[in-house]
Amino acid sequence: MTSRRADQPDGGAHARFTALVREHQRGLYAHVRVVYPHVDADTVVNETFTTAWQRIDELHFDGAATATTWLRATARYIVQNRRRGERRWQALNDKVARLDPVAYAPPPDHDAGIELQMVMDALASLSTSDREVLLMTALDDLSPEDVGEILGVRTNAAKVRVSRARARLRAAVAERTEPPDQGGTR
Amino acid sequence: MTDPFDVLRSHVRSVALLEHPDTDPDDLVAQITGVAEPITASTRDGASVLAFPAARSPRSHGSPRRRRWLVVAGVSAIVVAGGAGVAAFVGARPSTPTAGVVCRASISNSSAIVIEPSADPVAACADLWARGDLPEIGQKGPGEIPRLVACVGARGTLEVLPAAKGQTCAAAGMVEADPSGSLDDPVVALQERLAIDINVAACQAIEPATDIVEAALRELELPSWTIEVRQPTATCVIAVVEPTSTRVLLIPRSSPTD
Repeated sequence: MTSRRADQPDGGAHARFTALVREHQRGLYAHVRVVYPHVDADTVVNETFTTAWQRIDELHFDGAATATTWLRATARYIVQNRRRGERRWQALNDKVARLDPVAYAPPPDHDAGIELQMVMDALASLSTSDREVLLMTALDDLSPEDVGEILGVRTNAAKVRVSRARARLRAAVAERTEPPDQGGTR
Repeated sequence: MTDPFDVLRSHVRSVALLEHPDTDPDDLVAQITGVAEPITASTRDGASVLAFPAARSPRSHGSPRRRRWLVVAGVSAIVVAGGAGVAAFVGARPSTPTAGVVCRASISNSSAIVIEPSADPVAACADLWARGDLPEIGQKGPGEIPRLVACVGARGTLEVLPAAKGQTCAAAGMVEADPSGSLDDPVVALQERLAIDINVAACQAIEPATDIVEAALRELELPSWTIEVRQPTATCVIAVVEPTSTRVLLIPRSSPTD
């Protein structure tokens, strides 16, 4: 008789995995919804945790390699794979990247609403990579090391990327607030 | 005016407060630990090609070739390989029953090719290595054949992987298979049958799935086996054979309309 047994991690690993899911599922879901609004967040979260389960015996989170950054980096990798496979991704992304400020959390007053709309319009005008880094750092208090881990780049490169993205956001908002050029000086 | 980034931060954090995943964390754990398996497949040269989920560290992006095959993982389709009887369910979700022999490119989770069930799975996978289809999927040309071992993977799938001298299936978290008797084994026959009759269907409901399992257990003379439905309200299920507990689990999976 063939000997067979599912190659599942042991009970201790199951407990660690359960704790991982319970602690991080909600945060990871919010991260995917906010940073990658064009994808099915439930599916990406499911696939991310499936990858974690398959590697649970190797995963020991301590120091800089935190569960948070590992999960976000893995989710990003999964999103990128999906993105490459979707021909219409860019158009779809452009369409939904505004995060629909009306549908969520209405601003407390009219001026704040106008300001938010302006910021979201400016955000939508930026590149995909700028939007990604702005949204992930806006959502979570991520250190440059964390951002580097998630993006798969060095810490200094992550710092530069965050700094430039914020500068471009400010410039894009400024373009929308400054009066139009009247066509030269007298 | 307020710093635009502060406006953005305030907004996305309020958005995040309203976001809840559809699945309860414990249900998600049950789904994953019950059916964690490779995620997808495609076809090439009459074989089903299956890519395992990315096994990587955040900084490890793999080779371009590897990434190209992982891209395939995003495509949803049902693929039936050329020839008779081999089918692999292909989906974006990680519930992938396979009814063939999985020829792995390495001992770790990696790209692999699924072939038809074979009386000699090691020899069948060795052919792929000899043809140069492995270890780099898609790269043709004569290749060296490494030492191959046949192992039993999750849910009883037969997997053939390269192993260094002295390495056993345990290195991949599996147990040794007995390839000589596998096709005559009623448990293998049960698995093959349920994979084809239930798991490759776009959506198999609980009641017909239960009928199929009951009939298979009867015909294969496995009277002591039981059927367990994990979630009675599920719309679609897949069958998972658990030889160690002599059970067939009917586990929920997403319906095509999800």
